[in-house]
Amino acid sequence: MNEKIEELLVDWEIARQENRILTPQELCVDCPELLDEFRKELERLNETSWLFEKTRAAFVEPKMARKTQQEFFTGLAESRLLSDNDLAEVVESKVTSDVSESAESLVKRNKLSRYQANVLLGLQRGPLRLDRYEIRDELGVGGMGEVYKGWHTSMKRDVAIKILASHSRFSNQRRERFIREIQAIARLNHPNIVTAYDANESDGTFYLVMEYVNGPNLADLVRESGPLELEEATKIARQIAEAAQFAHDHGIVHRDIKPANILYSNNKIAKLLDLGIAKTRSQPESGQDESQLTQTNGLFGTVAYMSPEHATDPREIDCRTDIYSLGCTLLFLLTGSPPFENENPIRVVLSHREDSVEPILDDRNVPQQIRPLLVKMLAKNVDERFQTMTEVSSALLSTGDNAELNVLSSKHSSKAWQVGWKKWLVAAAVLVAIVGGGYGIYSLTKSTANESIPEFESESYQNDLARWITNNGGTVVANTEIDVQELVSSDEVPAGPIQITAIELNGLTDDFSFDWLVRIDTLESLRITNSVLMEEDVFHFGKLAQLKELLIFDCEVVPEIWQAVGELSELSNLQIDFVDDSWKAVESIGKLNKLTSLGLSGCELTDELAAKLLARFELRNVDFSDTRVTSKTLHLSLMEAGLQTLDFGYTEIEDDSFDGLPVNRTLKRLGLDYCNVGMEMANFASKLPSLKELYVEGTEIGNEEFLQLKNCRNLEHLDVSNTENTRQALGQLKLFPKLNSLSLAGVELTNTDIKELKSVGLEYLDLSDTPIREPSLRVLEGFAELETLVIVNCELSESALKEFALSVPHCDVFVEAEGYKSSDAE
Amino acid sequence: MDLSDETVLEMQSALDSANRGDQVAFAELLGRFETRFRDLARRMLSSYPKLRRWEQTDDIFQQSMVRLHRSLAGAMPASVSEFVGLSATQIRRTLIDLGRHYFGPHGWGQQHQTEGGGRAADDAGGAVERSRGQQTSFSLEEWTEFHEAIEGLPQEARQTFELIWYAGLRQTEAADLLNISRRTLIRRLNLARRLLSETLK
Repeated sequence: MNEKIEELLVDWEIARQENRILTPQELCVDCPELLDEFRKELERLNETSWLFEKTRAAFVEPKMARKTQQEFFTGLAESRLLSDNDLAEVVESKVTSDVSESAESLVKRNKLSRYQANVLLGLQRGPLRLDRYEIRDELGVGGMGEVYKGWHTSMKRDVAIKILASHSRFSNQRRERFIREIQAIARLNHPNIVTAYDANESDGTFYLVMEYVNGPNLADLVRESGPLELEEATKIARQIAEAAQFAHDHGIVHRDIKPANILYSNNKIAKLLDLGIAKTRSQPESGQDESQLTQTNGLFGTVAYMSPEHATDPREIDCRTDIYSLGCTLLFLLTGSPPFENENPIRVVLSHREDSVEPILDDRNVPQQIRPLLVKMLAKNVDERFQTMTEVSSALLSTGDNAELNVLSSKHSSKAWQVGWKKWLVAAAVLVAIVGGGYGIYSLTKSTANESIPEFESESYQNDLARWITNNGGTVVANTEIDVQELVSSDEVPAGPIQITAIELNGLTDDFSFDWLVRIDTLESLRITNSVLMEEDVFHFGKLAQLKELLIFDCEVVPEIWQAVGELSELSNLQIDFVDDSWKAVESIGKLNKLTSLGLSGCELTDELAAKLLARFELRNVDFSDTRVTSKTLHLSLMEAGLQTLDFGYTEIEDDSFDGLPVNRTLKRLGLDYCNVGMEMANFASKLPSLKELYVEGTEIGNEEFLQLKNCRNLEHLDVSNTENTRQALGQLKLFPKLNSLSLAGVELTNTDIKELKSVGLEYLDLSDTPIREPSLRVLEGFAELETLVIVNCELSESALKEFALSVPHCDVFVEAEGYKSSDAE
Repeated sequence: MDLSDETVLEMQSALDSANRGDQVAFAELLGRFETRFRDLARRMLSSYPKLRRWEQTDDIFQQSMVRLHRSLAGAMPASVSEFVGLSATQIRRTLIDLGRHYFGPHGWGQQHQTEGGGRAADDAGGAVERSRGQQTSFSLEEWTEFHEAIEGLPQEARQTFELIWYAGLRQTEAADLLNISRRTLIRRLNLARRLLSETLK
């Protein structure tokens, strides 16, 4: 640039700052030949004048353009949120209706959520769909991205979707690596960790799909309701300590434990969030690339809950940093504030490093019995802290004098239960039955109330007990003077002497005692579901020397259960799900000489432990679903000579695992729900000569696999629920020689698909959660062999169902889901 | 930022203490940049309208502030002028990190295709109101590119721009700190602006 012009620009700037108004002509009065070039340079300079304007003091919501009617309908059609019929109806009404009225009407009819309507109307910004997920609401926004409430359109379930990151410059290798990392973390399954279902990329956007938890986070909870009682706060801390220990065992440090990252469900289960964006502890540092995406190496964690070492050098942190953050969180739960607060975040960091915590505990009147624990959790020096979360958990257990603390949280999700006990579950979940055209409504899953057990002084105490159990929703099987009877109501309990052989209980809480159990010396089978079992309860189990069958599902139990189970020398069938410390199981149940059926769904089971169990027992029925076992255990299991049933659903079994597996000649039932299986599995299954039941829900199997599976000459039941590729293959089912039972729950069926099934000769058909309509019922009327039809959660009118039930007197029709109360019945 | 003689003396005293290990003195020293840093971070995040609640941006700001603290603590300068210069550079780099780490230079909103609801680029405030020569708002991606563009400026122009824009110094203060005349400072600043204008076009 001309030096003279450069000087003129400096003069111009100085004059401007001194509020002297000069024109370019005045400035260039001595050099008019430079006027044009000066003007041009001045214009260039002014292009950056915005840099020196005052920053905005507050955020300004950008103006949003309200959508026109045409834009609204175009958006609605493109969103695919409505069925074709609903869309046609709305489009038809647009001539007369205002666009807002159309949207409002759709919201009122539950066709659109409020969020969806607002986005379509241009009142709110946000996505409407992400791959197979329909976005229904915005849940929150934070540093790591936005969280939406979504709906899995084929699985029919609510999910939370977190948009993690996006980067158009990532190489394919890096994208794949990111997905793999997140998917590895997503495989962690613990009752106190928000389950991650899926991680993927869509158009350069990386997202994580998680369990939707109905409840606030602890920051909001305390902000709205105030600090928690010691009992509740320590119980929550213990649940999170167990969750964190589980993550640490898998090499993952959370790095950002804080109240806002802990959800508290309405049934009082604390769940740790955002594990998917933590650092994988065992992973070597590999440069900046990965860290930019997953934040593995960056400073991460809110200052108020950040350990001293975390702020100093995040690369050096280990699981003990989580212990410090949990200590801060526990203090927040008890007092409503984290340990150190200051407007200057650096002062907070320094306080974490320098300031003693004891005076704070005094100032805030923290209960004495918890103080030593907090001081140790919040030690500045990592070596002076608890060294593991297990130590924290144990210390919490011995802190306080309440019984609640003695309850270990091992409540599991119901999905694994569904794997092992699918058929039972279908029966139990279905409450309203239209039987032979008549209306019979009854409850099968009413909780056993926690009323005191009556004193049984008389000789007929087993009758009294049977009445009490059945009155409270349980079930009893007893030998009577005539025969063996299943008793589901107190009216059915005979007056004469009975011997109870089996009891089923549901929904017991921690103040329910089992001491009466030991008096039933005839008891052979005990099934407990959805209950809390204390240490003393499992102690009582150990005295049931005659027990042959013990089934514990969906319960909170203590690890001592294994010791008690080890005492049950007559036990042949043991099914327990989601209990930690499975290695204790190997030690304890190794003593059970008669065990032939073992289910450890959702337990911490590895190949190593499974190998020990398989070497010890000759098992006929094996349920290792939702565990960490791999193809090694599958291989070993199939070598069991008398194997009848095998469940490996929800495991990491891959399709290529089936190549070269031993062909088991006795296996009748195989469960592989939600495994990544396909053609190799189908090839293998077709070689199993005794296979009668195959469960492959949520897998990718389709036409090619069906072509192979039709060679299963004894296959009677096939479960392909929640699959996306099987709909087109249904026509092949008529070629399956013995198929008479089929589950298609959650499959996007059409009326034509139902017609395809007519010639299969089905006796049992599950069409729950499918979009079938009235015309399909008319097709189903022609299914001559059908004995049981399950159509839970389908949008069918009551009148149509009644009419249908009358037309199929040979068929039991189940239409309503669990949760329906018998009192609702007419 | 006020850099009067009195302030410089105070800062030098605090810097000496910090160099002897007084962490509180260092925190207070850094606190002098907090307002400017917060303004810049806030200005940058304001292009991300979904972060409406102040506590959300504050959370992010806090993390950036700690990162800034860490980077400065690793290279504690001896003089106030070095400290201010280094702080300005680190503030710029921290803002780049902020853009990259939390939202990506191609922030998710820029990429996230929606159906029926328009591109989510709108979400991120990506709609830059560009009237020729008068750019009034940036998307996060553009902000990050802007901060990165400073890196490419000639050393003197970059140093000057950083002191004025990132450290928030007045021109006279910056000129004093650099031991140059006001006219030289404006010349360097004008050069920086012209080059930036070219780069960001």
